[in-house]
Amino acid sequence: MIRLEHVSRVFQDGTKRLEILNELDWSLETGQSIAVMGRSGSGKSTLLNILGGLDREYEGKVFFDGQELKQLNDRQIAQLRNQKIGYIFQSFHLLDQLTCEENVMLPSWFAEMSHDAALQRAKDLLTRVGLAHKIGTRPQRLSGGEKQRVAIARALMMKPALLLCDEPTGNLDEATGEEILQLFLRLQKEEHLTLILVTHEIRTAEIADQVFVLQQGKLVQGKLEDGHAVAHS
Amino acid sequence: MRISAFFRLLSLNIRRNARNLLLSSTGIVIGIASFVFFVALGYGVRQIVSHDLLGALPVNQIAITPKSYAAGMFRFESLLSRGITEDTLARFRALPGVKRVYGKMNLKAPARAVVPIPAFLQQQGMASAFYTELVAQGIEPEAIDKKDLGGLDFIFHPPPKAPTSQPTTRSPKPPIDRDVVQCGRFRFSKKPVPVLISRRLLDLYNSTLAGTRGFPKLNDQFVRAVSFDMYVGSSAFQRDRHPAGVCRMKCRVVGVSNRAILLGISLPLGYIQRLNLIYNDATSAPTYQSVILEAHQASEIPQLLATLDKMGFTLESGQIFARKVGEMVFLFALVLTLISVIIMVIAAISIGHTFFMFVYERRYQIGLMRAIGATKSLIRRLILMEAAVVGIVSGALGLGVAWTATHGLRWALERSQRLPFEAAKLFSFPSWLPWAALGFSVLFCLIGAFFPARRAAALDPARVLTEG
Repeated sequence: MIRLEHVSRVFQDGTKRLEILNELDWSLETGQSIAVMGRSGSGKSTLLNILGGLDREYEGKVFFDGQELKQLNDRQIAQLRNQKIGYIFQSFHLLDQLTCEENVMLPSWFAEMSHDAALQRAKDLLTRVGLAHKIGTRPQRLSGGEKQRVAIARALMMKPALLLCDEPTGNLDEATGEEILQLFLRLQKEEHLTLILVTHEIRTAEIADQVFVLQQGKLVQGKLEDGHAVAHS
Repeated sequence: MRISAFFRLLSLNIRRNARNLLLSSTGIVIGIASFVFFVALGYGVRQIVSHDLLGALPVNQIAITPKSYAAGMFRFESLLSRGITEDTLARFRALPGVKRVYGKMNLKAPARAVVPIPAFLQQQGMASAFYTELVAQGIEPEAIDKKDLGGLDFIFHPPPKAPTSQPTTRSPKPPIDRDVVQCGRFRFSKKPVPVLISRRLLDLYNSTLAGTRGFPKLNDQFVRAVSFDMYVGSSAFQRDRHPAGVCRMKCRVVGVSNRAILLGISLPLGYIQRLNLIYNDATSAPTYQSVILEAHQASEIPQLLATLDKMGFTLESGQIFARKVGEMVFLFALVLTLISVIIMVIAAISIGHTFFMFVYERRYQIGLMRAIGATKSLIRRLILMEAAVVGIVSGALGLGVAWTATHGLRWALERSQRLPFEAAKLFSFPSWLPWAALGFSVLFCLIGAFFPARRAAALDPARVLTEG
């Protein structure tokens, strides 16, 4: 599904050159769930942004279902993000002026999806994430866990093939985080999703089929040991 | 993106920032209001000066007279000038570019009028009749705009043919014809002589005399019902009657026109031509005081003026003045309009700042929208559309402010009764003005929002969503 060939990403901090990703070669098959771990600043979010087509200033090649992302124009990449990729952020990024239902429907506004079909899908998703009773509520009146549920429903709105989650439980307490992770597992199975979780939390990484560790610009297979993620030697 | 969804997003963003948008659009509102105010004022004043005060003609017409020269306190016509005769008119008609020629001829005889005043005006303090010395001018009926006549006729009524008198033994005197007025050797129809009065004269009465004396203001409809007697050959300033006798003619006002002589009355040319023959040397050729030349196109006027200059003719002094005043008023209005445009430019900068602020405040929203499927062009269109809506609303508000200001000023001036013209004419709103105002308003808002929209479209979603 996803293939990275010699992907490097460099940031310039004044005169300082920061090489975040270094000649990365990596691939991911459909239906897998993986957790990407690493220290702060190791490039986890950068990798996620590159995989999601949000960051296109990398060197090398990124293929999504055989399509090279750099070859796509703005309209095509926007369509890819809309149709095939779902995002979940640590900060939820819900629009306060919209209701929960409208927040979930938001991706459908950028697609040729009828209002009725979008409404039906949004209601169904909100029911599945346990927020059927909050349909007309605005995000300001929701708890952190509820906000993340709405964000998950929004990410699934267009039935994406790939779900990218950037610290999905980072802003939640332990119990709520656990509920959200169980929700991820259930929805991944129901929707046949490929799941990439970027996290520094062991409990979040535990739900993934595989764990990768990002260190020194390289993505290496890892394992969870004594509350830490360690790279296979 | 679905249109309905686009407008939903648009309305959400506008409502979210309504207060800030309203504040930042104040400059546009003021700019549009001043633009409309000054343009309407410029048009109104220009119209008053050129049409009402000076009786200017349409752009493809000019009024000309023989050249004259000033010497001390007096003006003299050129020695070469022999006045405007029928031959001169024929020469004018033959000039290239000339479509029509209308002569204006003054009555060269003393005249006075007795105007009976209607009973309801007498009840308001007016006298039973109004006596006045009269200046009359003949003008060709074709030169008068039909709109000035309110459906009435402004034509020369030819007298009925004289009956062939066959003297009989029973009646040695010829029969008396009750349908004609006999003046000297001419017979006139007994139908009232159609008369025009100057619109400027009516405005002067309404704006000064009516207000200061407490008389009612008169409109075209009322004036068209006025009838009076004209006594040609008689003058309040002359002790003796004219040797040709006095000719009494019934007259009726049929219209109010800018083409009519300012202080006096205008009659169909046929009446004046005949009266001049009665009261002047019938052997000398009749002369016209001035001529209106109508060109096929306005662009032919400069060439025509050059030719006429060589022939010894020039624009009527009023027309020269009207043109100069018109140009001055135009320049004055242009400067004021430019000031309003500068206000709008400054306002556009303010709009730009506001939109930059919005883009910054909404960077997460924009980043999110880009992440879930919005294209750069959609983001740009969304911001520009917000600016266009602000432009439409600001334009409408500006129009409202201008309308209130112009009508308020009119009302105040009407109450002061100090203007020598109707205050209602001070502002003139050409039909294109509201559209131009709205167009300018939208344009300046779009200019202001152009760079913020570009910045919004160029926002890096990866960066803003990560930092949030």
